[in-house]
Amino acid sequence: MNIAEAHKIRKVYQMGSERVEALRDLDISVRVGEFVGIMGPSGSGKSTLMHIFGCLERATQGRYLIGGQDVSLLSDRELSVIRANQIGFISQSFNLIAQYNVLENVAMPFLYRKERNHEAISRAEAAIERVGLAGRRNHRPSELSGGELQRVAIARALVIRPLLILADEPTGNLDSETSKSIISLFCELNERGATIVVVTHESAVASHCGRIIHILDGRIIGAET
Amino acid sequence: MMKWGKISQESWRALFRHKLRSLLSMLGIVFAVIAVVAMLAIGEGAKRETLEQIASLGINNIIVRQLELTRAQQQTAHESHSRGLSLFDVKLLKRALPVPCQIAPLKAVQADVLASATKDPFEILAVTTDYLQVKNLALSQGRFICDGDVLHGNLVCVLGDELSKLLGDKGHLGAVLRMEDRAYRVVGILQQRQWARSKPSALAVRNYNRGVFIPLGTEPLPTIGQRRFGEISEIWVRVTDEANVHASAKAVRRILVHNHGEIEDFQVIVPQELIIQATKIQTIFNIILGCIAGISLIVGGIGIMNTMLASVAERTREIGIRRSIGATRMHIVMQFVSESIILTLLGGCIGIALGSGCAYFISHLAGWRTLVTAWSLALSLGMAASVGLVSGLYPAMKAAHFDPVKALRHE
Repeated sequence: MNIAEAHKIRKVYQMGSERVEALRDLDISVRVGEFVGIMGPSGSGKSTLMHIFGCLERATQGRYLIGGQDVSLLSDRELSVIRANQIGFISQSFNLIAQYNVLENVAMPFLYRKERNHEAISRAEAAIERVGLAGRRNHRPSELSGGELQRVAIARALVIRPLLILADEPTGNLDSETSKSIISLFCELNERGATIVVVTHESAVASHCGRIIHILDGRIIGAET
Repeated sequence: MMKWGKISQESWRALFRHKLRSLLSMLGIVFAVIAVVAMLAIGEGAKRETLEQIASLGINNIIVRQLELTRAQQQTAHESHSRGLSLFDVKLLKRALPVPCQIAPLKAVQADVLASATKDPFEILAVTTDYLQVKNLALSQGRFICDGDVLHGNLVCVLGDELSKLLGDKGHLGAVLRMEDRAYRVVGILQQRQWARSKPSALAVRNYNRGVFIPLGTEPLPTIGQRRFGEISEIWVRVTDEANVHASAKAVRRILVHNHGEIEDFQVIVPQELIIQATKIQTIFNIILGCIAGISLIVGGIGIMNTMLASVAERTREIGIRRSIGATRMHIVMQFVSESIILTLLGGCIGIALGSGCAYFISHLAGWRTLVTAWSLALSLGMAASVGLVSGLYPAMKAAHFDPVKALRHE
């Protein structure tokens, strides 16, 4: 069963008088429990694809389905609801709120969901524990290392129990040792059933993925398992 | 739906993060609300004082007062066969007024009460029995001036409560009081009556607590210098039906002008009309005040909007993060609008506290009556919240319409 399906996805940016085609008729599907790596050089369209997968952007053409639901024609509010309930997003720059502590950052998605406060806190604590930061829950991002920051971002993605975890260059800002621990955390999550799509240009990261898709100039140029 | 408790908590934190900036942007609202609260308190105090003065004259009453005339004016009046207000006018009004009413003449005389320990001259009011009902006076002891006293010229008097106490033994029932060259026996003492000092004006209210009432016609003769034009000082007309006051006042004026040889040497005061006028003046005052307050609040609102725009620009990335984890545009709007509403409400509360303090000090230092009413506080807070809503809405809408991807890339 496919969690995410992109059919003939095309994304065009109008930069002044210039038209930039970021994605050209892309077909990708991600199955439940898969760990997919997307590789390509800078400007190949990887991040655009992640943004479309994460419902942060719409494709100019084509259809994108998540959990069997076509999101191409959904309103901005409906896309927000999907992001709040079905997608866990992890980025290279961690995207944490500097003024919040670890627990507050991880519990943030519950601000936009229906869970009660105590339930949100207990789920956030469980997610923090799962990424190995139980002792750091009251620390601010400025008091954490790069690896710990990424773990907090992973915990925040996990806390909503998403259908799909999207990671955009998750090890881009980390040293090799920390990168290894983050990748092994992804592997562990995948082994427990999480569906993960990772965008990377590091082959060391991609080597842990069950399937690797290579993109160049907005087109798939190859795939390997 | 984002929880309101969470929203306000988030907003507090965001504002607290920039304490000085929040405080400075709040100052505009604080000063505007101080101005509104203090000015409304002064206006309301003045209005209440005026209305109380007018109401104490009696809403059903029409007061005819003899005007102070210069020698030349008196000469003109004599030539027109006017002797000023007289008992004949009273008789004429009793006969000619078409509506049920009570009419009480009054002559005010300034005289020394010899037994008094105080050197202040007391106002001696020579009245008929009707004055008690027309002015709604109540007795605590004894009786009031009766028809027989007026008819036979009995030398009796009724004292105000305060004067009775001031006179001590001489102020009790049965005591004899010397006024100028005459001795009056005290036959009654009035109940204490609410009275507030007011500026001397046509509406100035007599302090009956310090008054002496004697039968009309028995008053001690004033010295030549004090002699006034007119046989009596005032005629009080109490119209039974409030609805007839206006028409009766017109009739009183017409009758008296005709009787005074077409000379208007008297003043007709209609408290009911004065209340309408006072209310109109207050409405105009409130409109002017509203404009001043509106301008101040607009200036304050611009300050808030400026702060919120700076906050939105500074927190672009945060907006992107929130959008990426599921915040809708409405959530973003609510967050920023609630920040600006909290800012203005807080400014409003501080302004209310300082404005009330200002009103108190003005009252204390200048001796003006001020009144901080609940509605003025509610109005100030409501206006502050509205300014918060309006000035926060544009920055909030701007924030909500950021492209999440671009916002996430913002450094």
